[in-house]
Amino acid sequence: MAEENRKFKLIQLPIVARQKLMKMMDNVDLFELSLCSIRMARYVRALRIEAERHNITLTKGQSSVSVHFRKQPGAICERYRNGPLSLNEYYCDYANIEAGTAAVSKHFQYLFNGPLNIVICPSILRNLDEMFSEPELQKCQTMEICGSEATSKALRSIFRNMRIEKKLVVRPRTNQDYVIEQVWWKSKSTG
Amino acid sequence: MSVENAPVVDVDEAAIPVEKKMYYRFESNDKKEFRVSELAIQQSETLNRLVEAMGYTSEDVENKPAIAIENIDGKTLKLVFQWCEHHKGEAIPVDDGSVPKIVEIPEFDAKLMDIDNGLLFKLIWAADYLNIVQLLNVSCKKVANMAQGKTPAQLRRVYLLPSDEEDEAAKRAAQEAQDPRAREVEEEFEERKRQGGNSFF
Repeated sequence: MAEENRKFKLIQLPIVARQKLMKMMDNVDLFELSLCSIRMARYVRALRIEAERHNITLTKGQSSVSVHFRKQPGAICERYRNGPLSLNEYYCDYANIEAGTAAVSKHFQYLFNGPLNIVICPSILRNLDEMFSEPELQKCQTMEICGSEATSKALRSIFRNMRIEKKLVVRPRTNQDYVIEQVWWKSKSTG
Repeated sequence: MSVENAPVVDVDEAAIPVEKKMYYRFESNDKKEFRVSELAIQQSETLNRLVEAMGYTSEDVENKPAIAIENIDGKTLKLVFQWCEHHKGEAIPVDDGSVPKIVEIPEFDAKLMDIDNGLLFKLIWAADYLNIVQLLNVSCKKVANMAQGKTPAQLRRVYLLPSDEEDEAAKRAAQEAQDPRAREVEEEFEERKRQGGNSFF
């Protein structure tokens, strides 16, 4: 068989056929496809596949970014620490874990629209400013802050531009008084 | 009236006029001719509407030239009509734009689509053009399955996906083809800049 005939020219299909074909792929395969080029990421986004939720978990025991779907069981998950991986989980290694988390979550959110839930332990993170400077991470559905004492600097980095839609849980004490202004903003706006 | 009480009438079967099966003739862009039954044609919304609009009788079919399908070659059209004949009379899924996530590929379809990817591409293209919903579903599912478990590097090879650099180069070439003077102006501008002039004029 000629080399040319072994390949399938996906991007040359008419748009209706191409979108139908791509919608028949598993979401994890669409994610892989999106890593092939900017154009393919755009094509995957154009399918308008809704995610049930995006999760970011950066705690002492777990560092992961994941996206969950209603229609397909399981999730696509990127983890930052070694250990046994299950199906549809990837291991990735970023020197700057906060920048890596932001990059991965941005890509997931670009592909699959859906609400974001964040669980973080600020005392183990060093680059919160960098992470929460990304617009995609400045709006979430729920946020939980856990771990040991959180400095007011860390809290300022997190809450400077943050908008939380449903629930905020702050477990650790702070070393100084820190006013989470966005909560006041939220309270005012909802009366 | 119950079935038991229904009147029984003896029928002389030989006296009933047997309706002749209607066939249509189609010609591919490489001049290959196909005879396809009316029932099989119903699988294609495009062809079905076409023959309805033409209103051909059996005599017209024989006397007039075959209906030309300009965009599809004989090899592809043969597969399309084989599929339509095999599935004639089956319910046609409503094309409401939704995409079934679960598509079973019947054994016949799997054998029919055991072809090289170049021909499979043409088959999907033809199914889309002729609006054969179920053929498009099964052929798309076959190609979607080719992605399972593949890495981006493997996907690039399987689906012949251009890299960002290749996309960028193609975009530039398309722009230049649209406006051949653009490159000359750009080169002239660069040359003037090298000579120290800031202004183009």
